[in-house]
Amino acid sequence: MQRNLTQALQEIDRLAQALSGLPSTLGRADIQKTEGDHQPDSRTKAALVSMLEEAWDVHESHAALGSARIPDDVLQALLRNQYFQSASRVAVKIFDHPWEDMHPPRKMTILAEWIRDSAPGNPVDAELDFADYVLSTLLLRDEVLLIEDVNQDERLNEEVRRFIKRFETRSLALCPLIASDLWFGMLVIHFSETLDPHNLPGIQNLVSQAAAAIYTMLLLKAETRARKQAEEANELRLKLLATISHELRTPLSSIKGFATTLLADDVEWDQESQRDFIETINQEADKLTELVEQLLNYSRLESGMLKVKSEKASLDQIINTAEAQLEILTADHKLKVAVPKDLPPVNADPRRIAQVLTNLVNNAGKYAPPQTLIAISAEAADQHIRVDVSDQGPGIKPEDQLHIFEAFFRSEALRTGRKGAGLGLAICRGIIDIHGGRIWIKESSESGTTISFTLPVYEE
Amino acid sequence: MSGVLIIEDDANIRKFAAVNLQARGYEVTAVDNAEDGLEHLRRQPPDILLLDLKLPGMSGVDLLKLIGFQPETEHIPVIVMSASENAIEDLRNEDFPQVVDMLMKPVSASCLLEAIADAL
Repeated sequence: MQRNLTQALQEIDRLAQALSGLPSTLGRADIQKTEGDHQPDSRTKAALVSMLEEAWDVHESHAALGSARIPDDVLQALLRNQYFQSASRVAVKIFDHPWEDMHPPRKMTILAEWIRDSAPGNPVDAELDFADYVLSTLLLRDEVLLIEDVNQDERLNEEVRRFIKRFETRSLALCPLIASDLWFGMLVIHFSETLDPHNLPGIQNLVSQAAAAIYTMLLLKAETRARKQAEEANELRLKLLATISHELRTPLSSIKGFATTLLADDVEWDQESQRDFIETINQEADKLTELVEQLLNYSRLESGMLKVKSEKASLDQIINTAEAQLEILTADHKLKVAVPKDLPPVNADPRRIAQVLTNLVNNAGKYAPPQTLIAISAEAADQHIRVDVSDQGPGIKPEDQLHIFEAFFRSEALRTGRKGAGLGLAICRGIIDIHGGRIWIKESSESGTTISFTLPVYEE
Repeated sequence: MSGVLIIEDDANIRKFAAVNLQARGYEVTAVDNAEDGLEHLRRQPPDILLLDLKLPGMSGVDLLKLIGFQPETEHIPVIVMSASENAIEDLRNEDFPQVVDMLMKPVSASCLLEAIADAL
């Protein structure tokens, strides 16, 4: 580049000499022709050299902007330009959403920032962010906001003035970044010398190309992120499918196994064994049905299709709905229900909450030793009713407590024998979420686990 | 008569394998975890091991690695059973000379008996 510029300057010299030989009507008005003197006027030459240098400078900046790959490249391309010679800080700020007339941005994030070595101040700085934000409120689309003298300008309040002067700022320019008709951000430029307003068109020209370059980078980044998310979602779906297939195959194995056992020709099974095998097939078929139902519920929850009909309901009434099933589930345990009579009604779908209760009691029954106590209790708190389901089982390890509401999670320590697909608690959480409540492990130790959830109190 | 050790955590599948093999005259020991299985393998090496891959605690693959390095167990043929395609696929990519067959669940009684007879 440097060699090209030298060549071009030599070319200018020759050009100026040739021009000076032309009649003034053909030459440019400011080119003075001197009779008998074929040497160009020194001012003419200087003007031409300066024009060429300026054009060259702009050309180089455009070339650098065109090949910029990251936002910092854009800053470097701009800073190399003579208009930015006295810049002490340059920052690219991106809006949280494109700025439209009625919808100014609420937030802006910094994409790239350069601060001159000698300028004091920490690049990541809340004060500066605040100053930029206040200044942005003065911005208009398609117009550079120029503050020629930060000491005098009445649009600045003292606080903002103090913040921006940390960069020895004399002038300040805020340039809207617009591409594809979208106003997506702004370029903040601090100058340590007073900016000549004549430089504005040149700056604007560079900024519009910088905006195009930055916009392309943002699009590319968004595209890359979206692709990565899609890949991750796909991976998760494959994993989920593998888990579901495994869970379905397990009860199927017993069904297939015992059916073929009964069908075998070479063995005559006694009556008792036959009955035992058929009972196993029956139990496993029930498990399979429950699993399919849970999968359906889970997929409805995940896709937002689970229908919940909230109504005024008392917890008593909900527990009554679930009573028969709760009794079956706790046949080997002692079930204790302690719900105060004066509890206010909740706003909930009784059938779904009954499902949550049976899921929780079912879990308690699976893990707690026979004949131990499983308790359901409730109390009113603020605008919510809190329900606790506790057992005297082995407890849940602290490292597992964070995950137990995730689908298909099963604590390694509790995997003694197959106890379910790990969907029950995920479904509970989904149902409670839809109701606007919360579900969590209240406590879990060797002496048992308490899972609590809240439901909103019904308001007339 | 040949001795078979079954390591399977699902009680019903364990029962299915055990009753079928016992009815055909095999001597069957059945346990629900790899740790107990290892104990049996060392104390009374069976003629064949029927092994589930997904087990609580030590996995079936971990057990395979352990018994492959021990002179008293390295010769025992192993039939692997699993309900997970991925687990079977992963096992295929590893080198376990002891594994003579891999059964994808669900498994029929005849299929199980055939695999055991072939392995012996």
